[in-house]
Formats: sequence, C-alpha cells, structure tokens
Amino acid sequence: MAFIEAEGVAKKFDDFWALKEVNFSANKGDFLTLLGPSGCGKSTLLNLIAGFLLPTSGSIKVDGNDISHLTPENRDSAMCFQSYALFPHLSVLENIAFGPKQKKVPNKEVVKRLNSLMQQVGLTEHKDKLPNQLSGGQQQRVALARALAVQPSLVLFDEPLSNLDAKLRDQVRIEIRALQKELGFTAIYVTHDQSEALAMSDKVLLLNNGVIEQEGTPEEVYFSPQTEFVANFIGAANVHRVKINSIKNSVISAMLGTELVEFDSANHKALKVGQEISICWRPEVARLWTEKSLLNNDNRYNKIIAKFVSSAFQGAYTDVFIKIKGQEKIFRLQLPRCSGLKTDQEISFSLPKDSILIIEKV
Amino acid sequence: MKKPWWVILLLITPGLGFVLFLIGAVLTMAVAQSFGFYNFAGESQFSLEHWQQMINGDDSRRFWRAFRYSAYIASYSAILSVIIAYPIALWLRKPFKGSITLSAILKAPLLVHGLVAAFLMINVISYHGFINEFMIWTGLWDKPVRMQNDKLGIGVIFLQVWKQMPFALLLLSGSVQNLSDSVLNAAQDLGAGIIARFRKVVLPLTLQSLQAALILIFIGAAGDFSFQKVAGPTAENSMATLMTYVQTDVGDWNGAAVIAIMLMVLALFGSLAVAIVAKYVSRLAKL
Repeated sequence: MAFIEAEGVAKKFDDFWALKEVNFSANKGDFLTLLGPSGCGKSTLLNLIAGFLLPTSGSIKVDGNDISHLTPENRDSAMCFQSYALFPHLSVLENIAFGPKQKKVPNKEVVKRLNSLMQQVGLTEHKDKLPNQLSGGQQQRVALARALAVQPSLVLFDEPLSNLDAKLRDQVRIEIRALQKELGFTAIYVTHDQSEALAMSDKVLLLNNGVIEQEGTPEEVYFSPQTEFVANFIGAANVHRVKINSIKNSVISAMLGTELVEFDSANHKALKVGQEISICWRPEVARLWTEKSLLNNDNRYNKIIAKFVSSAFQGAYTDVFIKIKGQEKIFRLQLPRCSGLKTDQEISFSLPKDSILIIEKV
Repeated sequence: MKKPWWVILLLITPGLGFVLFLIGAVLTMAVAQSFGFYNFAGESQFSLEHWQQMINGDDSRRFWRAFRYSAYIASYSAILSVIIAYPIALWLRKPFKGSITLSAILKAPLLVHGLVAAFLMINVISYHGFINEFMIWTGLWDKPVRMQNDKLGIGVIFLQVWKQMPFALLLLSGSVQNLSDSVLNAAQDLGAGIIARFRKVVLPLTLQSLQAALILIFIGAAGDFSFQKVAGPTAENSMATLMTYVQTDVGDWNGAAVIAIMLMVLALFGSLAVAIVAKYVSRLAKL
C-alpha cells in the first residue's frame, strides 16, 4: 500500500481552481518532486499536504489515515520553507529544539536528537548563533535540522534551495538527498528547477495549470515526454508537427521541411499515412555530419541539411540555432566543441532515428 | 584609516550636541531649581529644603498621594490601552473587506486633541449628559448617576485609553504586520497550538513595540494635566496639576521643580518596570 495517497484533490480560491482533481501516490521512503512553473499549483498541493490549506474536494491519506482536515500541528509532517522561516529570536539550538519541545519529547531524548542533528548538518560550532548571524546555506541546514528534529514520517520541502547561489544549491541538494536516504523519511519536494527534480527524485510529478501533466521517474519524464509542455519544461526540446509520408515495418517517414526523417512508431499502432503528428527530439542527440563521419553508412541516423543562424557558447556544449528549408521554426542543437560557423552556412547534422519521439497529447 | 576620537566628536556635535543641549539645559535647570537655585521668591543658593519639604515634610502627604495617583492612572491607562490594541492589531494583521476603513476609524482619536476629547466626554458622562438622560429615558435608572469627576479616576483612565489606544495600535500594527506568515506556519507545523504560537513566537517578536507602547503611554499618562483637570476626581491631584498648583497658587517654583524631577523619576521607574517585565517575558518564550 502507498504511504501517501491523494485522491481527487482540488482547491478553489474564489473563482480560481488552483488544483483540479489531482491524484498521486508515493511509497514510504520515496523522494517525490512536485515540478512545474510558477502558478501551476505545486505549492498549493504542498500546503494541502502540510495542512495550511484545506482541500475543496478530495482526500489525502498518509499511512492509510485520512489527514485532509487535520490541523498542521496534528500531522506527522514537517516542512522546510523557501524563506527558511527560522525563528529570528531563537538561537540555532533553540530553533532545532522548538519542535520536539512542542511535541513534549522528554528532555533526554531532545538532547540526543539535537546532538545527532547538529553533527549531521555540521552546525555544532554555530549552535548559539542567531539565524541572522548565519549564511544562507547554514540557515537552510538549520531549517532542515529543525524539520528533522520532530522525526516526521513525511518531510515537505517548499523550494528550499531557491535563495541559494548556484554552487551552494548543488552542494545542499546533495546533502538533502544523502540525509533522506540515510534517515529513510519520505520527502515531497517542490521546485520549478527541472535539474533539481531530475537529480534528486525517485518520482517526478509535473504540474501545469492545476493538473498533473505527467508523472514518472526522472528518466521517464525526460526521455518519454507525453506532451509538448513536458518536453519543453524538462530540458530543451525541439517540438514540431509533421505529416506521415509512409509507415513501413513500424518505421515512420515524414517530411521535416524539405528533409525526410525516419523514426520508430513503437507504441503508436493506430497511426495512419497522411496523419499529422507532433514529434520531439532533444537538442543534445544531434551531431555534426562530416564527410569522414562513421555515421555515413549507418541507417540508424537521419541526415538533415540546415542553415546556421546563430550560436551561444555554454561551456560544455554550444547551443547552435539552425533553420531547415521549408520550416519557419528555428531548431536548436547542442553540439560539443562547435565554433567557426558563419551565418547562412549550410551544415549537415545527424539525428538518431530512435531519439525522435511521438508526443501523444499536445 | 581610523579617525581620531576628536574628529568623530566634532562630526557628531552639530546633531547630537544640539539635542543634548536642549535636553540638558531643561534638565539641568529643573534639577538646579529643585536644589534651591533660580529661586524667584528668595535667595538662590544650594538647599535640600525643597526636597525635604516635598518628600518628607509638610507637603509630603499631598505629594505622595499625587505620586501614587499618577502612577495608578498611568499604569492602568498603559496596560488597558495595550490590552485593547493588541488583539485588534492581530485581528487586522491580514487584510479583509473593510479592514482599512476599520483601521482608519480606530485611529481617528489621534486626530482629536485631548482637551477636546475631554469636553466631549463630559457631555457624555456629566450629570445631565447623554448616558444619564438615556438611562432615565429607558426607565432603567430613577435618577442621574454621578460619573463625572468620579473618585477612582475611571473617567480619566477611560479618556486616556480612548486617546492612547490608537497610538498603541499604530505601534503594534507595524510589528504585528511584520510577522512573517511562514514563521507562524513553521511554528504550527512543528506542533505549536494557538497559545504556544502566541507565547513563543508572536509575543517575543512584537515585544519591543509592546514595550515602546507601554512606556510611551505610561509617560504621557503620568504627566497628564488636561484630562485630570476636566474629568479627574476633585479630591485628587495628578503630579502635573499639583506642580501647577505649587508653582502658580503657592508660588513655590523650587517645590514645583522637585515635583517635576519626581515626575521624571516616575517615568523612569515605569520604563524600568516595563523593561524588566519584557525581559522576563522574552525568557519565558524560550522555555
């Protein structure tokens, strides 16, 4: 049985539906990420799980018990807030001890938990400092330790890393994941950062306009996006409409501008010749095609001719923007070590046939 | 480069020096006068006679009575104003339909001068005022009740609270509205119920403005003259009315200076008491 289950959860603010009939579940010890753009309903869903909001309809069950209408103080969960929400008048130690004291944990046990957590999050030497004497990363660690001090079965994270700089964000997210694995709590993590979601999660729930667009493992949502929104939101993607020319042995041929592309039709049995479909491919699967290329005689690749528009150096790769004859849209390629291309220069690139995906819903 | 101390002193002199001069001049003059200097009715020389006379001599009974009365009025006015203003500030913390209008109406007494308020109040509570007339009209009372210049100074306290509560509300609203929702949510999330949230988060985080409101109202009410003169008990003097009486009717400027110094001492003691209580409360919040 799933540890946390949401059934038909909806939330309405005045005339606005922030969440519409959301259903999901997660197992004990899972790291579940609620991912989506601003206003998609992910924080609303987290606040419903925490108890700061009550659902308009539906129910949330934790360990088989309906908690939908319990007040936050009576739920077995703790939240790490985006703004850390540390008590400014209390020291690091007093902040962390706040929860256990409220829950009437015996003093001996409180001391034991404090010592262990202070060591785990590396704050022992800062125990007497006030929150405003700590750096952002240290404050985040205090917030995490404070949440863990009540030993909740469910830890909720509301964009906890969004106030940290990029380098510290990477470091703290590794620490959070390591702690979660070590202590084994179930985590629900809200973020709009797709790289955070992919790196940390066991399961990702991608929300848009109050509904779940797609759920699955990070690999599933990245490699098999079901909608244009998912394809574009998670990583970069080239999404476009094509008309099917032919279907032979489950290989579809379609025209991409003046270029013929072939791709696999697996799992899409009902497709017909002449039908318009949406396809998607990731910019990083493309490679420059040269005369010496080993790919020349490999029929697993499409060869596409395009015109170079512009490029942007990104360090590990270069974003190359191209135009394909007969297509208005500009496509994006991510090519390693690519420089010296000139505007309107003709280039050829390869596109693996198995990396072109058919998007079911657009 | 670190500037020498005399450069820093010169830099702050125009601002701080002016303020210190103004405060210092008045304070020095009052202290000096209480010790026999600036004597307009006799020889100006150092003397403890005026202190002895006021604190321990013939005038002491009248003086201490006025001291106690002013301390009583100031304490009740400050505490009641804050007790009324605090829940209102918390209630108005999150905006709702009509909350801005309500807040403006509650702060309206700030625009009415204290003396005007006192006279309006007399209209309401006097022997033939609105309350007495209304109660007799309803038949609930047979004859008018004496409320004006009542013995316990309730009319004065009422006026002080009416006048000072909006000021307390103004001070408290600022700090209450600065309380972050996420901090309150965090407390609730960690198991704190409504009382624990108030005691351990709301109170300590608004304690400074609470303390400021209490002290400022206490000082203002301790030195009240107009409310006491218009609506206060006829048998009682406040420190301010006693000081005026001693200075104008008796012509004892030096004795009046002693009362003035003691009024400042009363304000100081009031402030210290509030500070001690505040420290105790903030310690309680950590338990």
